[in-house]
Amino acid sequence: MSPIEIGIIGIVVMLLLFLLGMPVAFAMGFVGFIGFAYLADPGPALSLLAQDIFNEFSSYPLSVIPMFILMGTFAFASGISQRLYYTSYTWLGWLRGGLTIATVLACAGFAAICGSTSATAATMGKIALPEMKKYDYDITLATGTIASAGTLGILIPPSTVLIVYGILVEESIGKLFIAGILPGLLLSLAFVVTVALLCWRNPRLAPPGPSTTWSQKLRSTTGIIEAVILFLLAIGGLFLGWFSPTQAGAIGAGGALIIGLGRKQLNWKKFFDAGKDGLRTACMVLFIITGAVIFGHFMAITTIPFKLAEWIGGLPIHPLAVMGVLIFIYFLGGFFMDSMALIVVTIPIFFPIVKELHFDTIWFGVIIVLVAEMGVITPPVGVNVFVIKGIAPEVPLENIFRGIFPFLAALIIVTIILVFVPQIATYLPSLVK
Amino acid sequence: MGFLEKFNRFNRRISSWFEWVGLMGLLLMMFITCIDVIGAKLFLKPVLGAIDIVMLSQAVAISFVAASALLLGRHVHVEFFVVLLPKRVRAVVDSVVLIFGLGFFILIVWRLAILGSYFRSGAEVSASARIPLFPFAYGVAAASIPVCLIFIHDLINAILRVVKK
Amino acid sequence: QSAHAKGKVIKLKFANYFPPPSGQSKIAQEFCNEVEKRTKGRVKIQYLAGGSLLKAPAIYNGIETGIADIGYAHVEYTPGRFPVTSASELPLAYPSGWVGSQVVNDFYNEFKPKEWDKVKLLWMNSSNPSLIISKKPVRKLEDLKGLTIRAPGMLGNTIKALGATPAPTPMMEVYDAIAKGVIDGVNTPFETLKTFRFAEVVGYTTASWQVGNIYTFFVAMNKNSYRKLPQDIKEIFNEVCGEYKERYALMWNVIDFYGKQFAKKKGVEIIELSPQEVVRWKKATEPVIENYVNNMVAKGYSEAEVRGWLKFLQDRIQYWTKKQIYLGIKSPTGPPEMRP
Ligand code: NA
Ligand code: NA
Repeated sequence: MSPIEIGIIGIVVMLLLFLLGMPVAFAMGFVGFIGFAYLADPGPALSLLAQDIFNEFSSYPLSVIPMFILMGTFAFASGISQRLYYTSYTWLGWLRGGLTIATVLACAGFAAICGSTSATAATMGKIALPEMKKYDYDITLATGTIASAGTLGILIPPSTVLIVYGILVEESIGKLFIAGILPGLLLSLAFVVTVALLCWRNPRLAPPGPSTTWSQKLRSTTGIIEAVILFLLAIGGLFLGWFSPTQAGAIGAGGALIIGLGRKQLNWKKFFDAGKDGLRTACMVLFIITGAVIFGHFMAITTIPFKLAEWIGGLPIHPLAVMGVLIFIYFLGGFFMDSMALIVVTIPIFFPIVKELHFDTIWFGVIIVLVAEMGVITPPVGVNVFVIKGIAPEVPLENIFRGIFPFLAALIIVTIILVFVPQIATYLPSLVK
Repeated sequence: MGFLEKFNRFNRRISSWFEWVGLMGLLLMMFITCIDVIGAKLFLKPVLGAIDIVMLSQAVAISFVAASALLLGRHVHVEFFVVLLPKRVRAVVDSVVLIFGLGFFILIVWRLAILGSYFRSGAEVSASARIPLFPFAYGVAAASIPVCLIFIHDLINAILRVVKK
Repeated sequence: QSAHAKGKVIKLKFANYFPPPSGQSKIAQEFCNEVEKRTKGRVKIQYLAGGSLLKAPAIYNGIETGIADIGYAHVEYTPGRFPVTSASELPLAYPSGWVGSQVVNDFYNEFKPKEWDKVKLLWMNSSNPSLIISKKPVRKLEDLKGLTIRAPGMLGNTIKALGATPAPTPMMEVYDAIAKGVIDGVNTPFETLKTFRFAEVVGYTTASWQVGNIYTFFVAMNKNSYRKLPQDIKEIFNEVCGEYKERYALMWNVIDFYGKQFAKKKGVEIIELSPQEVVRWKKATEPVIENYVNNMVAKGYSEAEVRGWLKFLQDRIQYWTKKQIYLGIKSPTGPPEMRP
């Protein structure tokens, strides 16, 4: 059999193992190892396995992931995220669907300190779902909103997906973060409009909340001052060139810790629990990356990526159509695969085409994030939907999936806007030298 | 209490101990980076070997929490398909997947131990702080042992589900 | 009987961590093509650049265990593994990469350190002398105080002796790290100002070749893969290796010019050390050499032996410096006679 055929069999077996419930990280590593052993020799494959694991686990560029995840879990444990939500609620609760709009905005706010969609969804789900239930908000709307708005976590900086993308294509992570700001705001706006339209069409979905006085509004706002400072320090520090991404994450985590201690929100137990929670999430992400690296080494010696890239690159169609094909491939892939794993596996394959066609690296990163956001909420594999299901076990899965469809439409519209107006992504980074 | 239950409790306890080791690694990453940044920005006194320490602490952090993350089902996996299968078929599928996972992690334990010996015989050290690398490769190997134990437990469990009337 | 029967195509893999557009990668690709051409297609080398098969720290191990058949890296990616060869990375004032390359090959051939016994060493080469490439101007020794400079392993010792703090930042992160002020500079040759685009983020380069230390690179092959080559192929292969040993030395020299030109275009100020400063810098780095001797003695080598290596290196540097001047090969570093 030719290396290409072996490679195709490898991909099919990997998808099969995914389907049969093997954790995606292990399935990629396992198939990658077996494939490499078959195409090269078992001895080298075994050595490469050990090298890959040790090198990825001790990779300095990857250390940014555990640091930002830790910042997110400390921010949650320190009550920073709850206060962000409370402030949004105080300002917007009186609106029809105001609580849902507040949730979208709170997600956007939390997204500004947390780089992961599932962490954003989990955090906001824990805070917002009980509140929405209390006020008789429609549960399909509520869960769908949080699952979808949680995806803002990877578009509004910091973003684990953009970090991984930046490492894979050797692009400045700082610039990628800045590129995510305007599209992130646009998408937040699109989600707000979606909620408003839904509630306007069917008022029973979301009864208005109590009105608050100006002094209540202002008092609640003082509660998020330290969150704003933390954001300015970590992201501003990145923006102004004080820190590397890893350092920004560590300073952010340290800052959240100090806020928690200062407000007496953290005791030893909460502190350790938050640390462990972050550690487990970081472990999951780094295992996926390592699995993808092992699988990638197998793919590299099958020559498939190069052939596939040649094929798509040689399609006799307009570059924008090629981009359309690429986006569609990601969209389909997102049905079945975790967005992060999908990106790690495919970017090295598709990135040369993107370069070849002279698309902007940073713009493409933002597009990839938008498509990845669709992937985490679309059935059958929608990680965010599972996270919400974990928080609200009484809501049937199909209801949550039904709830996300209007938001999926909003995501698609924003993606199309970005394809035709790339400046939304590229303008801000162009200001940074 | 049956053997399987005892085995499970043992796995939980050892995973939880290992998780504490991992947590210390993660916190060390954060603290050393903060000290390095503050030292370098405010006092012109960076920490020699800060990057080495972050890298090696990360290897400890990630490998030592792997067992606990597995027990808690934190590794992303696809569920929708297997839940559609009849119980017996599902037990067979689980057994096969668990055998692959177990085999994979046995290889990891074995080869990281070998990598550790290779680092030791070659006297390889980290690039600035000159910390020997071999204990960390041995550490990743050791941290993968409870993962194997968890797979063995789940495998026995799955096989029992296959043969059960 | 050889495993490769006559007429059958021998397939090899060459792993390189340098990104595809760099000079160090292009020449490796040429080498692969040349071997294929000269063996009339009987040897085909799949070239895997940019770390797509092995990242830099994994390359040596990858060659030894056969993940790659051939690989290219420098010895500081595996600190501690090549203690004898590291002698060549002391601040011995290499004037150019061409001289350095000749010297490190002579050193290997003279002493055949047993640390290389597990691979077939094809040839060695050295980077150009490392300079202080920094955001702030470094005109005198005191200017290095409080700066963090990227310099892994043996080169870090020199940086420490000069008064700065060494850091082993991964090469791909250095650009961003300098831009963000995470580190203040990097201890690498002129060439990197272009290859890694450092000229966009630094303001100064102190051409301190007088304490210039080098990174010692190697092109090595898996023992088994080499042993399995049929005799006639081996002869052709050795011949191509011999030619590329010299071509690599010249390649380093040429790309250093590109780096310096690019730096000037980007407005980087090139600082030449004054004679008084050269004396002070040399004095400051003397302990690095003494420390190395002491460490090796502690490891069980005799002092006479270690000093013998150093004497040999210094003699060969002198010899090849004269030779380069005689041959009229120009370099952007080194004594005036070597400059264009
Ligand atoms: Na974010
Ligand atoms: Na999906």
